[in-house]
Amino acid sequence: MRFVLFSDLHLDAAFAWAPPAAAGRRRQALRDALRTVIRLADEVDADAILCGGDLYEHERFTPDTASFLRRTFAESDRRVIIAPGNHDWYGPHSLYARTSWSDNVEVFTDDALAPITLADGLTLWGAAHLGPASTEGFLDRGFHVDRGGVNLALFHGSERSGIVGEGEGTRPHAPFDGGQIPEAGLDHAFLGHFHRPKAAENHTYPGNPEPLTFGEDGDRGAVVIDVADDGTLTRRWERVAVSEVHDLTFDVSGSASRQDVREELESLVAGLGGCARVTLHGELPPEVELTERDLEGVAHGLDALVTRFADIRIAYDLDIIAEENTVRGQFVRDVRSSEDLDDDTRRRVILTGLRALAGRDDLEVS
Amino acid sequence: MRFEAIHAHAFGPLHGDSLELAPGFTVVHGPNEAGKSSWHAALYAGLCGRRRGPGISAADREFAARHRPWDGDSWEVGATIVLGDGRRIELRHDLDGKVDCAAVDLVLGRPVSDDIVFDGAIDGSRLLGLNRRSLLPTLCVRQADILGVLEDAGQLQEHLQRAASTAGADGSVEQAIQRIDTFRRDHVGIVRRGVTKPRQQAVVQMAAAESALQAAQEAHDDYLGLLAELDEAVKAAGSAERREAQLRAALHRRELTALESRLRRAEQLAVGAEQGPVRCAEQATLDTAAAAVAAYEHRPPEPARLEGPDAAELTAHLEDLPTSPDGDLEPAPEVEAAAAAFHRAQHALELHQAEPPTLRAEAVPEGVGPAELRRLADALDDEPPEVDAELALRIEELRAASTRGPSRPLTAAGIVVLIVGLATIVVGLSTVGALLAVLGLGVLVATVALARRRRPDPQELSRLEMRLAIQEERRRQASSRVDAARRRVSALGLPHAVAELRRVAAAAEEAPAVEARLEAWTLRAERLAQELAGACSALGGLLRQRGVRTNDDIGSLADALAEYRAACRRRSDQAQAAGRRTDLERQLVTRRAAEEAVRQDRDLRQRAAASVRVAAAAVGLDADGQEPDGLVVALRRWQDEQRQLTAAAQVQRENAAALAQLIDGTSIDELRAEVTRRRDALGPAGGGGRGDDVGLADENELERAEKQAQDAREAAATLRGRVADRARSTVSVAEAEEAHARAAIELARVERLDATLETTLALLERARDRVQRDIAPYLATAVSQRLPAVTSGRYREVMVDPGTLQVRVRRAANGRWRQAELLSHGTAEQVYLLLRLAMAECIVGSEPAPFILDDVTVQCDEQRTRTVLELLHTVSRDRQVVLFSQENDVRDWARDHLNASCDRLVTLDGPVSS
Repeated sequence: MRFVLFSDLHLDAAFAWAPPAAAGRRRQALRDALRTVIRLADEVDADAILCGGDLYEHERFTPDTASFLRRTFAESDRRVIIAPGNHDWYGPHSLYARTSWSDNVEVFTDDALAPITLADGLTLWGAAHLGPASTEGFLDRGFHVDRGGVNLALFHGSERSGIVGEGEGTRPHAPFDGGQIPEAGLDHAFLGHFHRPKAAENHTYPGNPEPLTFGEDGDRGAVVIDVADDGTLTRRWERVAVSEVHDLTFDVSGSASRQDVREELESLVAGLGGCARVTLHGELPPEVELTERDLEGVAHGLDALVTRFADIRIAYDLDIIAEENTVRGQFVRDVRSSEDLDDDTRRRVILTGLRALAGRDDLEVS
Repeated sequence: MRFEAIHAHAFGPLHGDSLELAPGFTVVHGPNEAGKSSWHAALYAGLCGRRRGPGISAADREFAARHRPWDGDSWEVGATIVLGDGRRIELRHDLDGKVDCAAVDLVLGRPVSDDIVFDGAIDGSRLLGLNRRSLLPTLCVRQADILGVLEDAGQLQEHLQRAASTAGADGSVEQAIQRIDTFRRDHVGIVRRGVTKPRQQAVVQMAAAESALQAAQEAHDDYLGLLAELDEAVKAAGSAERREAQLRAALHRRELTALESRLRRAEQLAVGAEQGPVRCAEQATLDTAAAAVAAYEHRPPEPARLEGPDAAELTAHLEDLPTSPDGDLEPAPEVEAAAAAFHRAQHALELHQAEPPTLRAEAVPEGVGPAELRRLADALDDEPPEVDAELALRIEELRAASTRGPSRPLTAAGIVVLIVGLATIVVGLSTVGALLAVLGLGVLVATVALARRRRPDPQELSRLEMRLAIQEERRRQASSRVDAARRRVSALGLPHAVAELRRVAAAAEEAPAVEARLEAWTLRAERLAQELAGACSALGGLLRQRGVRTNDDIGSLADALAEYRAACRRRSDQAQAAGRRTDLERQLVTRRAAEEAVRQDRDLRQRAAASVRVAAAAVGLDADGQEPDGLVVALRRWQDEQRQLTAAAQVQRENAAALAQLIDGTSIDELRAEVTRRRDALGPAGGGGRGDDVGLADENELERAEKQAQDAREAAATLRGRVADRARSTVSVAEAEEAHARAAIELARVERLDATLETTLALLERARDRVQRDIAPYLATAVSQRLPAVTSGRYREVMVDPGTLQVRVRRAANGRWRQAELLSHGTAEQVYLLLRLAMAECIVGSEPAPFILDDVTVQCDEQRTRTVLELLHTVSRDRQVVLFSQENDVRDWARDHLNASCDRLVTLDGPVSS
């Protein structure tokens, strides 16, 4: 039996980092990615498309999203099975409950694992989040399969050992331990929630198929899964993203002017599509006036360019200035010794003060 | 630090040239184009080199344009400097490639490059705590500086501010503060309605974004709510439609069922109508049989036999009973109370009379009371006290001793010895005679002394005699009282015994009480006798009222009372016997009623049995020899048969009427055809819906269901329209969140900028205040030390305002303060130069730094030039001074005044060839 597994598409997600037009294109890319998943299922002749939750975001979905999903799934000949997650939790007002799905769509609606017989000797157990938070682990309540054959699971949950790797923002929704899967009599679990892909022995996180933010590494996408009669699996990740999000760094050291920086940055992102975030670092001469706004319009081929001044050092020799018996020297000494300022504020204040003393008008420090 | 030499390896027009500089005052003189500016720049570049790094400033660009060698590839310059600690440093700068640069300690032969790098290149001014940017404004005075001060006296203060702020390399802190203020006003602004500055705009945008986000979220929630409402409405419409269909089908089914039932019933009735009519008995016969059976079934049971005396016997008992007696059946309570009172009075009198009081006491003589009698007894009983015999004997002894003289034998012996001694002296034995005479005299003296010691104390004797006299007087007085008492007792005729006298006294004391007790006893006896008489009278009266004969004496009353009590007991016994009459009369009535009931029951039973026989005969049963019970059973069986026959006849009639009504003028065949048609119309599913829950639906209910279904469909359609409208107008929550995030970022940026500017301002002002507070007094002191000398005593003191660095000088003539801006040009030049020097000293610190001046006297007249040169010459005693000048007056002054040992005049003869 062959499945195409995906999760965490997050239709209608907000992209606070992107300009309005780019954000809209990002959301469109999410929809396009879903169409790609459907096409992938056709190409590999999958028996079913499995969604591990967070297909859309309940707090943000638009009326058009419901129509889009209903039509997209209805146009497919494949069986579509969905296990709602914490962002698309199942409830009386949820899109799942409000939409007249085509017959090929099945949605798990209970927060306890329930079986769907996919074929003789092959059962898929699934469950749904019924709220945005506080969903207990589906495997924590003494669940055990009650039948033989191959037993698979589909749900949206947090494998406890992976919570740290997902960062602080990832809360442990429906947590479980990897060892609970075989203990429950399951051969494998198809999951959603973690955006970082993972191919563990007993479970699979496909990862978010379309980029949601910068810095997403790993081969994310949809997973083509073949399940043999004895329950063994083969997995193959297929890229379904329709856009790119680049996370770049740019050393400004050596740039003698704002123009230098612009030209080098333009060269860096030339040929790239989608969105890019460029983290600028390095050392600039004091006389170079540069803010994020000075870099606007550099990337012509990108939907959005986000610049970030992470560690831009201005080449003031502050140690030497601090030795001066002048107001400037005293100012630098005072700022450096101000314990109530954090490092970033201290840096901004010093640059602002030195620029003002130098008669410069670029007093806003990025 | 001082320059020893400048090495222009390749610098502007200079190639391989060196310029030696004196440790004191060096004047470099030359006309225009002689190379002064090149040497001035070479001096600067030889010390500081050029910045190395990306980018190039306008100043650097101009410097390169002016001083890059006019031919050749290299651009090199160097300097040899000597520090205050004696170190000699050789500096070499590759100004073009900026690679071949070096700084070497010539004494130690070690590179010192790493210690003096600034902006990526070796900078010798670092040895002074300066850098290539601050060196020029700190140590170099240009012609333009002097001109600026002379043309605009206010520039003096500004220059000081710039120097204090940035060593003159950049602007002043005041300008910086003003710039930040302006920037903050333009790029942040205040938060107030109507303001168009960024912060207000960011706040407005943030508020708008928050409102938009909230509106979008509420619209999303509303949309979800509308979807829920629509879902409910659709469900309600579906439910109403199902209800309508169910009702409609139920009604059709019900009609079909009814029609089928009619058909079945009509077919059944038609079959029954083909049988003959049913025959049954007459109604009168049926009634007779029913009445007989009912009477027999409801006849009374066989009466039981009556127990006890019959009515006759009870009547005889009643006639034998006595009548009720008259009088008390038991002693009346008032009689018993009077009898009790009689007995209590009788008993009280007897007890009183049994305890009479004691008789009267014996008589006491007239005129004497019990107190006197007791005193007489006490007097007779008082024995006179005895006199102490030992006391008298002691007194006698003392009296005898007082009359006794010295011991006669001893006195005689003493006299004898005295005489013998005197005699012996006379005979010539003076020594022995003297001893004897002394011995005899001693004996006499001892005898007299001894006699005096044995004589009693006269006071002791007197005291004892007084005590004896007192005792004797007491005894005499006691004896006199006893005698007087005896005489009084005798006169009263009373016994002399003390005890008898005291008894008589006690009797005299008790006599009034005895009299009182006797009187009280007598009075109580009289009262008790009266009470007894009253009780006798009351009891006797009561008894006589009840017919008992008696008078009021005690003995008669006791007998009458006993007689009364016996009569009561007799009347009680009679009354008890007479009291049974009522009970016997009630028993008699009851007995007579029971005997009548038995008679009536027997009569009813007999009549019921007779009726049964009559009815049995009427219906044709053989009653002869039959017991009534058997006849009744037969009659019941007959009645059942008749009821069945009657019911069958009724059914037969009703069926005929029902059949007529069912077919209603048609035929059974036609009814059957209608059933078939309707069944076909409903179809095999029965018209949809089981309709189990519709109950007894009717047309009205169907009409209501149709109305409800229509309303529900319209409500759902309305909601669909609203949902569609809302779907078209719904704002994307994601977009609103993104707009909110952008507004938040912008507001945070502006607020962060504001906070940064505010903090910068505060720290700049604090640094300014601190530095100027330190610099101002230093400048004042430093300039004041030199001012009198350079102004020939016209000014003696300088004051610098720490807040503004404004300078004022005090005139020596009148002691008044004068603002520096108002000084003459000559004095202003002097004060300026001194302030520059002091400022340089202040900024540089302990290492003496050279003072470099470029044509600073070009605008001075001869006198002012000389004054300036003398000032610089004076200064050069403490630090190296290098003056570049094109003026011949300066050259001439140098020739005349410079000291060859420490000063030097360098003359650049003519234009430098390229």
